[in-house]
Amino acid sequence: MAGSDNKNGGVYLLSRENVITKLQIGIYLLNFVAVCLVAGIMTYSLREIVEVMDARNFLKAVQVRPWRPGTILFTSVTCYLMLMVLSGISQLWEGRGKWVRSMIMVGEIGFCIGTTFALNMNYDGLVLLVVADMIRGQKGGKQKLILLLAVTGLYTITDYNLLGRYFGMVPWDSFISYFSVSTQALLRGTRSIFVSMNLVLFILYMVLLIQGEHREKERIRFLNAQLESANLKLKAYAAEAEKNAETRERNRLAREIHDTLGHVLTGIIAGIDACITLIDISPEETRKRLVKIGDVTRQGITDVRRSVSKLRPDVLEKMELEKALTQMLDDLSHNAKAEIGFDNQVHPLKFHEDEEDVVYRVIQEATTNSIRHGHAEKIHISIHKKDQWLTITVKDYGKGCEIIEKGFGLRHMEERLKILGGSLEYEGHDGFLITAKIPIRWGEEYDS
Amino acid sequence: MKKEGKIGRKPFAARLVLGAAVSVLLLLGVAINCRTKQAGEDQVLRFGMFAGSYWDVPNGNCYQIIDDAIMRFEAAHPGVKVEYVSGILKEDYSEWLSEQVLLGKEPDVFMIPAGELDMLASSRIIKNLNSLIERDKNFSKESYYQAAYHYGNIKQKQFALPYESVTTLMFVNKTLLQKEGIAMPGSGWNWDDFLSICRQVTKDIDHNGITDQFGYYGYSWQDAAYSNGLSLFSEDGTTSFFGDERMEAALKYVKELEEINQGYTVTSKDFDKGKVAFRPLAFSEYRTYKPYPWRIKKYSDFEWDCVKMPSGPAGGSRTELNTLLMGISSRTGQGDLAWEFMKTLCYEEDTQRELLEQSQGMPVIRKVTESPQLQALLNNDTPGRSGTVDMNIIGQVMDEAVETPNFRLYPAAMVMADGEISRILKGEASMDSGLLKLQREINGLLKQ
Repeated sequence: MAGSDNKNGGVYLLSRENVITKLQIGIYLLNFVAVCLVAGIMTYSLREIVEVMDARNFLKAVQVRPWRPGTILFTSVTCYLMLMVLSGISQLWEGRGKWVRSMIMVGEIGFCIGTTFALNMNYDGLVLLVVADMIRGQKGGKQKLILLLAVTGLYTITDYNLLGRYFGMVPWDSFISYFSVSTQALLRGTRSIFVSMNLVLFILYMVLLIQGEHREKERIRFLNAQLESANLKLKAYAAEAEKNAETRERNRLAREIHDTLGHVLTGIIAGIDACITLIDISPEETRKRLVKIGDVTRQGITDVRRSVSKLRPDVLEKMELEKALTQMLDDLSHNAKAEIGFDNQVHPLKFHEDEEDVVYRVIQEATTNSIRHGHAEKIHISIHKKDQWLTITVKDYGKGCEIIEKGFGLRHMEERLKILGGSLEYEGHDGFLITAKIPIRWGEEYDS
Repeated sequence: MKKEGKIGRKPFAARLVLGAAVSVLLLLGVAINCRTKQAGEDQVLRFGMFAGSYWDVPNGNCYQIIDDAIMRFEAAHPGVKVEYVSGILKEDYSEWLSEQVLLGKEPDVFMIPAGELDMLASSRIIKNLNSLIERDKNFSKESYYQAAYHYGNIKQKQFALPYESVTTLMFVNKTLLQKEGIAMPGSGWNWDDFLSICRQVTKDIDHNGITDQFGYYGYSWQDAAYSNGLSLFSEDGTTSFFGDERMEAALKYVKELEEINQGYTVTSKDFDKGKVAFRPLAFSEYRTYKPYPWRIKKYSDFEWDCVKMPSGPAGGSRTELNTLLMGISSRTGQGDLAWEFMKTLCYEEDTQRELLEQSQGMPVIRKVTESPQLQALLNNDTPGRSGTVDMNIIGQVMDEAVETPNFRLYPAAMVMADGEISRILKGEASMDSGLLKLQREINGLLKQ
């Protein structure tokens, strides 16, 4: 489906490019003919004026000295050809640097003014040619302003009514006033036809150019929308998967509790009930039973511990907390291309298993959040202790977040800390900062 | 897919660059080839002039001075050739020059047609000489008569150098004055002297009831205004001074003079027949008709001479100075050489001295005009006759002369003033209010 779309677009592009090229050829040719025609008529009429011996009246009427006839022809044609050279180069060098392109543009403007002056400002169609080149080359933004200024300036300079007299230019009507009335009308008409044709071709050219740009933009917008919707779907999947995992975990926990604790507690209750009945009849038997209950309880604890072990992060099973943290952060910084600083002031970093779990989980969750939500490229983690309190801070230099919506991650962290009697603080004004405090049972013996 | 589309455009651009670049190189090659063919030959400086005299008097050999100057210039600048087209009549010269300008082939140095300095300067056809003058240590504008030099100046920019000048002098019919027993007026004579002599000589000689001897012919209100110390326009040609009281005095004086003739309109024929005592005439006329052979052609029935114009109560005997100017084409490729050549014509004493011998104008260089040589020359012109013009007087007249205004609207303003003032002189409009109205109207015209 996408393939066939592309193919159609390609054919379309090809044909449009073709039309644009043909239009360009048309514009160049038309202007060339116009330049030759205007220059030719000017040269011819200067000679005609001399022929009919009216030179003095002509000079008196125009009050300026016209250019030499040969100079008019030579300068206008040469400047126009140079303009074409530069226009061609500007198309060949579309990818060149800004300066090269600007220099070409300045050159084009110069030759455009040169031709227009040589024609005594009697044909201003070349401005459109330069404008077309400028519009094709511009990339938006500040260049648009420059373009606007350049076009306005160019039109001001090449407009006869505005500055013609000042620059010593001879108006078209003075040139053709030496022809018969019908020829004058013909010449006037021919010039207007050239001017209008040039304008029509220019507008057509611009329309095609702008249309092409418009279509390109449309396509990009369409692709963007598709990407967006795919993204949303993916997010929904992720959320569902997380929920499923959570449910699965709960069920497993429930099962685990039921299987281990339930079994042991039932045994203990049954044993204790038997002991209550037996205690008066046979203390000896009771003691035996109690010893048994103790065994069962111990066995139960082992089972519980085993279950809890199953819930522990794998890494903590195998290695020390500090090492596990370092490895986890290394992996993360490697994967997310983020710079993560880890400053640990507590040596050795060794606590009870549940505390180690929480420390590990809090840091893991916080850094993951920083990268996922804050798009942070720099994260700093520090661990230090004061009295019985262990403080973990995770500071990132990412986007931060003004209004914090408590998600699964944050809630989880809070819950885990609460179990140990700890607390969690966070704020998101300048990056994101999480501060977790855990009361550590330093030196408290715990049966291991 | 996209790449496939671009295949159409890139080769097109490449072909465009190649084709246009090759055409430009071809064009440039042809142009350079044309240019280099001219190199290797002598450097050619082109000079534009008209045949005959600028002052509308017969001139036998107008090329002699120029040819001599060119010879001296070519000797001083080896490898340089000066060329000019001969045989262009003065009345065709302006058109010829305009045609050369339109064809781009105008001479490097050329004479400026009468009254066209402003047009040539504002059309930027002639060069602003200020920088050349500043750079040239050997050139001092103080050598010129101020009025002559200043005639080539528009708004503080010197566009042309004077070549020769002509001032107005008062022709006196010596025979008539002798007959009437009146002494030749001296150089210090004034309006009252002029008026009283006119009154004395105006009479009916053959007693047929019709006045047939007159005091003056062709004394205009401009002559009266200038000799009363008034300039009609400000230097930059933006305001006029027709409302000045000196103008009113001049008009009153002209009216008084007119009243002597009792309504009879004196013609130039009357003067030629020797029936008129005074006539303002250009110096060129004097130079032409004083010496042989032209002397017998005109004014042959009586002895005549020149004096300064009578001075008015408010100022010296100022007259208008008419000057032939030369300029340099603004697109000459050899500005420095052109300047040197123009200096040979307009600044070098050799050329200027030759003007005295060959031309009818006055040299514009003070030193040449006031040299004893000139006096001797003028004496040679009229062998056996006494009472030639004292050259100190000519020098004085040149010194005091005011240049003809050279701004664009001067001719139009003068036409307007002439019409209104003749109405005032005829009594159709009152003098003071009419003049103020005229000043207002002309100032309005000048603001255009």
